[in-house]
Amino acid sequence: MAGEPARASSLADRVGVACLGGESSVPVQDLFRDHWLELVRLALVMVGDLATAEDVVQDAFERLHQRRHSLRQPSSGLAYARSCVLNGCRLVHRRAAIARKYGPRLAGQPEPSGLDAMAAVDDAGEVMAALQPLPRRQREVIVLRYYADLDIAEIAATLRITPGAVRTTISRALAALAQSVGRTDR
Amino acid sequence: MTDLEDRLRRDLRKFASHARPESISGPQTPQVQRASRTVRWLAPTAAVLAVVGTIAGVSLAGAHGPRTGSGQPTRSQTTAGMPRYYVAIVSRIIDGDTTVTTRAVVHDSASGAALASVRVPRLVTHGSAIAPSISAASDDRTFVITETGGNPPDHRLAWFFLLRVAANGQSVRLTRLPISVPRSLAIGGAELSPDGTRLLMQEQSCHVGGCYYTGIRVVTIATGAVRTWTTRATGAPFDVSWAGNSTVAFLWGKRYRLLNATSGGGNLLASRPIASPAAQQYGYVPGALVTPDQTKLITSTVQNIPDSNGTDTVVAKIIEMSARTGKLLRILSTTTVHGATRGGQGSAGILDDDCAVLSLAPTGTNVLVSCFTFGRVDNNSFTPLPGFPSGSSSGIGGQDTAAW
Repeated sequence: MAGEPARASSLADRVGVACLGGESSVPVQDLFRDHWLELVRLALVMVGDLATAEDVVQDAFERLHQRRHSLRQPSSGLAYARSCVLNGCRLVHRRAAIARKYGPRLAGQPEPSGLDAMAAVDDAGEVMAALQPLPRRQREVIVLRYYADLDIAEIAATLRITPGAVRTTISRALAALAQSVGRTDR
Repeated sequence: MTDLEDRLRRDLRKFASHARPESISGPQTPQVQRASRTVRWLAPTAAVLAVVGTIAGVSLAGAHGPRTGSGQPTRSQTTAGMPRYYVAIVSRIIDGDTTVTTRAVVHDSASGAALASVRVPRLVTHGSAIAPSISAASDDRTFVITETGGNPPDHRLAWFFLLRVAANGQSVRLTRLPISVPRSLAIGGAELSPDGTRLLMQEQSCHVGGCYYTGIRVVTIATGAVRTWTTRATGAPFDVSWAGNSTVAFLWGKRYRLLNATSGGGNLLASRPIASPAAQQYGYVPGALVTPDQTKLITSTVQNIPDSNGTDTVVAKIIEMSARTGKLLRILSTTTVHGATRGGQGSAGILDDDCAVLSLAPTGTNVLVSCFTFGRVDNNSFTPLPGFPSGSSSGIGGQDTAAW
């Protein structure tokens, strides 16, 4: 993952360049083709499973592809794509939670999606584990801040919340993580 | 920057790096002509899936194929309008002829490559096993598998499973649907509506004296609401299928009919007759699928030409005919088999069943067929495909076990 911070920053810089719809614009296909890996990785850290992550991003792509002529602010294409991906991740979490609550399992747990996912679980690390119990909003801001390297304003635009709310949420999430990691360290 | 922030960056990137360029497929561009339909089914399908997840929540298994780069469908491989995936049901008899195991296998429609598979729990074992049937919604990723079995009236059961293929085709999720059918009914031919919200089936009411087909049943998956169209007339609906989202096609006697499925139920024979394939020898009417715009039927014809050696040359065709006039519009493919051996009743009664249309793509132009060989028909050409029928499945009663 060497060089990822620089890559993420450059992608963030291009938020204002990517343009959806329009005669001379960058089409949705190009936007997703250029940022596919980044979006899949974003979904992966949110949902923890590669196959599901790809599914989420493909669904987001299809949704945007259908609406490519009706986006009001085509210049915010990448931010909007991220937002769509995060929405898809929320849906995955919601369904999983409901299934856990109501679903008596007839068979065993779903098989992990190949060696990649199994290795990923092994290598997830303590901090990743501590991230999972956090409230959804806190998880999202942490991922956008420390994985996607977005600044406060970009996170606010992606999640459609105020910059102040972003700062507060990050602060609370870091406090919770520090407590959780510290407890494990002891 | 604190230690914790450093650890966060490091761990998040390490975890994310498991998605590598060579291990993921790129965006699969939706077919342009299907966009508007996709918009229509997206909301109800999402609702259905959410409800299914909520009420049933019985996530059974997700099996995954190898994540190699090969075999993944790409835009260049696909034919316009052709669904990306087809799913074939493969059943095997194991444990000394006492147990049936079944898997649903996802194939790439362009290459035929198997991409993923999942085990389908079996309702009954070999003694009264019927091969599960499968049907597809128009998004080419949502399928319903139906299992029926048992000996009426004591052990008549039906299970329904929602099978959802991942966008890249490399994994599948199987979920038991919370749909039950009264034990006094035997059902068959379950077909998922194009928008993925309803299941269509023919129903047979059984009592002590025997079973009688009574009509057609449409179940809304999300709510379990049932609507039925019945008749007391002698006869039975066969070959039920969807012709678009609001119309049901079925064979009654020797004619196909179209039923408006948006009404609240009622008289089955209030439906509209349409032109139908001609009955073959021994009264057999070939199965037909009606296009979503209800203007055409896709069906098969089989012609037996006796030769001098006491055998037949069999010419089987997949054809498109007008639903209004019955006129032949196009021959989509032709298969010729030489030296077919006559059976006890002559060859026709045996061979007619060997050429059938299985599943029609939403465009109404691409069709999965089993015409001596399994494959797809598009652009007036036949392409053989693997996966159906499975070599070891003989002896298990068959239904439509491949769909897209």
